Amino acid sequence: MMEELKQTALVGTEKKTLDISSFPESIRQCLVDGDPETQFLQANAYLHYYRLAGQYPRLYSGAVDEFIIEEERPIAPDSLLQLYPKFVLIDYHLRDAILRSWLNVLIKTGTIVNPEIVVNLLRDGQNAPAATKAMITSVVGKKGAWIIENDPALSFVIQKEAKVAWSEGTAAERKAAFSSIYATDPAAAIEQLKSTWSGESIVTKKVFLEWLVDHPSDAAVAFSESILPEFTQQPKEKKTEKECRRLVAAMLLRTPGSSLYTMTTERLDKYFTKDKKGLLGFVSGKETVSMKLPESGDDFWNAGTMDVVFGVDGNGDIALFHTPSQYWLSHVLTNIPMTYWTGHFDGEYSRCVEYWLTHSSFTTIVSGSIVSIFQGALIANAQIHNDHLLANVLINRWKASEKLTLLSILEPMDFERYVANNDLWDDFETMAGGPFDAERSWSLKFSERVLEHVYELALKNKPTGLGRVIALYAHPDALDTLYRINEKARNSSLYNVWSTGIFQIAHTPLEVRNKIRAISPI
Amino acid sequence: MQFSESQVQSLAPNPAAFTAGKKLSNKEQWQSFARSERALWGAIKGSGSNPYLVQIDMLSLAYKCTCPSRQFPCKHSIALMLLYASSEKHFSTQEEPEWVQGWMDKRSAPAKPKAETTSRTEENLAQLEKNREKTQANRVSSVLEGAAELTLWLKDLVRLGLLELPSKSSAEFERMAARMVDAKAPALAGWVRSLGRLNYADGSSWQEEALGIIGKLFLLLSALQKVDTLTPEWQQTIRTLSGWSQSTKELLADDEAKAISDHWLVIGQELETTSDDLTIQRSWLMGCTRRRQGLILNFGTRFSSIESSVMPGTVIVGEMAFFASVLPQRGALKIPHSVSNSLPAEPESFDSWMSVHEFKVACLRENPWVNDIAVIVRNAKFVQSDGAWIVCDSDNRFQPVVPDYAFEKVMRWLAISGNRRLNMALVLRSQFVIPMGVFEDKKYELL
Repeated sequence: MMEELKQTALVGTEKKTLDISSFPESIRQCLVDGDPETQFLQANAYLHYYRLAGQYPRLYSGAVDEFIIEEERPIAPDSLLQLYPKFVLIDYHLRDAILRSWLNVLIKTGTIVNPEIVVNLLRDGQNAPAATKAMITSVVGKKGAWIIENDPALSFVIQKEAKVAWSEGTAAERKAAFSSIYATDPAAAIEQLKSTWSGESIVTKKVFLEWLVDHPSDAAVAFSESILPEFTQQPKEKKTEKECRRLVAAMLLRTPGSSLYTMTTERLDKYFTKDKKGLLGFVSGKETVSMKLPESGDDFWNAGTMDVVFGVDGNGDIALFHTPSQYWLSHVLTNIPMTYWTGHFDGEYSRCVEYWLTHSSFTTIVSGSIVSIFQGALIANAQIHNDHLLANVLINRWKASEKLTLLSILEPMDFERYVANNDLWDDFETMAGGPFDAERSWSLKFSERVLEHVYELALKNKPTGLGRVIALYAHPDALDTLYRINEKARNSSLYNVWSTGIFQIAHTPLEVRNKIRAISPI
Repeated sequence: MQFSESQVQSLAPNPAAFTAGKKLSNKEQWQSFARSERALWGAIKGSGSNPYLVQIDMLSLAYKCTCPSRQFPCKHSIALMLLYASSEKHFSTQEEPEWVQGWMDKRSAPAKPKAETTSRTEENLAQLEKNREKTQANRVSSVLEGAAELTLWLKDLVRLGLLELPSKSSAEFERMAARMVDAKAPALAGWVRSLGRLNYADGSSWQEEALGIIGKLFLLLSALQKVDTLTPEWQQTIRTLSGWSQSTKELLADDEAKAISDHWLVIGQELETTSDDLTIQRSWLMGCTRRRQGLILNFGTRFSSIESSVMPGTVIVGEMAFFASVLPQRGALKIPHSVSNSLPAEPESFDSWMSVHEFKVACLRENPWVNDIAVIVRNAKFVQSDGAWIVCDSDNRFQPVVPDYAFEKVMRWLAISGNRRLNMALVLRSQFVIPMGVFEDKKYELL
């Protein structure tokens, strides 16, 4: 019937007359006599509805997945979820940091977001850094995981179960699985690493050793001790093998009590001399400490030992170091904690630092200026060991760019004192460089002082660009001060300088951080 | 009544207006804001010397702002609603200021027909009526002429065969469409254009679509030829289908118009921009206590934004007046009405696609040109079949989802349901369905 209609329709009634004999009686009865076109148009209209009425919904022949995704974790409280819409109001450059604080509370409380937020969170997080994405995947629950699996456009990766990832995953997945276990149980992670260590490629071994050097633990040190022989120098050694030796040795050097640390420090002790010579020694009664390195090397300070024991190659920069021994010393000065070095200076950091930085044997002239050859080693030591005391001693010696690398190692109080003593309230790099993040903030008093300073500068038409720094690091309780100053600033003709530079950028992040802090578990 | 952010978003005339409103939705940016039982209001500094005064009618959802923006609602109204959505507790309940009270009182007063400015004599009235009848007769005559021409065009088409259709230029369709516009039958022009818009490059699928359009159009043209012999409802239906416009103002002022009082759930909204820059907003409503559905149409152009007054997902308590038709669907909400977020009862639903089909056939019997039927299907779920989405009922019978349905909405359904079968509100359109929302825990969740 339909075929007949279609065929006639396509070629036209001029060439083919519609044969209605196959049409249902009910339709035929309705067709009135007329020209072939009218009869066709009538038949087509009636048949259209006839078919429509008979087109029953089809039965799905496939298997319908009836698996119901039940969430096991509870939904986060409304007070936390209601903060999410505010993120869009936060400056783009700050959003990720504040979002992470918010996600962190969800993760810490073992809760997930509600269904209304899941899709938006996944969509908004598509271009977020990998670490943020990983946090998002852990709060979207099972439903969110299903959505990620079914929408590749979201470009999220659901982490495989650690054991599965370890045995079957890609290099990145294995590293992620290892680090996730290590974060809570370093010994278990090391045991897992041990179980496959012999079969790992040298490149993979290096990757894990690099990671362990940056994340030391007792288990990692014991593991390093056990694998040190594996990297004993060979006649035909690969560069990567030597690098592995250097990494293992560095970890052991950094750990008091390790065999390498003990052996090295016992050896170093022999080069220290003490006497009461000189005016200082006579007046203070303190002994003058010095370290005398052999001019032309000995059985310890020689290229062979340095390579075999520490994996250190070459003789260093001859423009900086007077002798190869000084270069090798800089390596151990970088790695061995300051407690050892200050031990030779009666535990005094400042004396110890003074010695390494100013002793005539350890300085050189570069571009007409006197430069300490161990400056880099000491800064690196402070960073490796997160040595607040060393950082504090070092930072007060310089006002140059070197300080920036030390700011993040300082104790918060030392940072605030440093800023106040040096009147650095409007120095963007300093203010942005402290040991803070969205969760570890300036003290309330310091925050209020910063706000007063930037307000005064704004009223002098001197924008500081500190809005984002305040948004991230100011104490959440400084929100009241921010509002108070804002009210005060409204009457000024330079309100815009304050408002656009500070207030508009800082108030929503501070408000959100304030609420997150109120909700966050202690 | 509490708003959700997504509901406010649905009211925004465009995404830029919503983003702009969002940026102003911090309480610090407002000089003052407060609420009463029926309204929200606030003052916000703008570019002028005086702050803009913003007011929101919470009962029947309307907005007013003193800013010069032509967008409706403007960013300030959006901002005030967003502020209320996120910080309701910061709104103190106060006595309405004069400017709010005056506006609200005026809004809540029932609409009265405008008083005659000059007293008309019987002779005047008779003349007016005569003029109206003459205008009407002229239009009917013009439309009938157009219909006859279009019938002839259709006959030519079937005489020469539909295989000619793909080779026709768009100008040929447009020429006939323009002729229908000249004949004061713009809706007939729409039918012609829809024939021209078929995808003739897509195999043979266009053939059945073309036959469907021609079938419905021919039936309409046949009905037009004897429109004078039909009942008033049929006359109105046929005229509307031909392009007679319907005035919401006249409908609301007409005490004789059919009106139904109910809790109307706004199950969804759709925005369509036509090729001639006309924006059509369709809002589908379903009565919570009677199996009635309503369609509210709002129109916008490049120069005038849509004046949206219904928020998807809300429940409007009040009377809905319907335009006369054999199957009344399109209507308008009478004032006063109130808006709420609580669902008193789930609108009546169908247990399967089979019963929906019976309902659809019954609707077609009433009005063969009916389109966009809103229904609720019990225990429905999305299923992916050959790369396309379908909605299965509890018997696993299915209806295909419109091809351009946003994947994000399916994801939202999954996030809400966890793959569980839920009662789903949908709109039937041609052979497809448009899922709008689902019912869960006695709440309606928009997709």
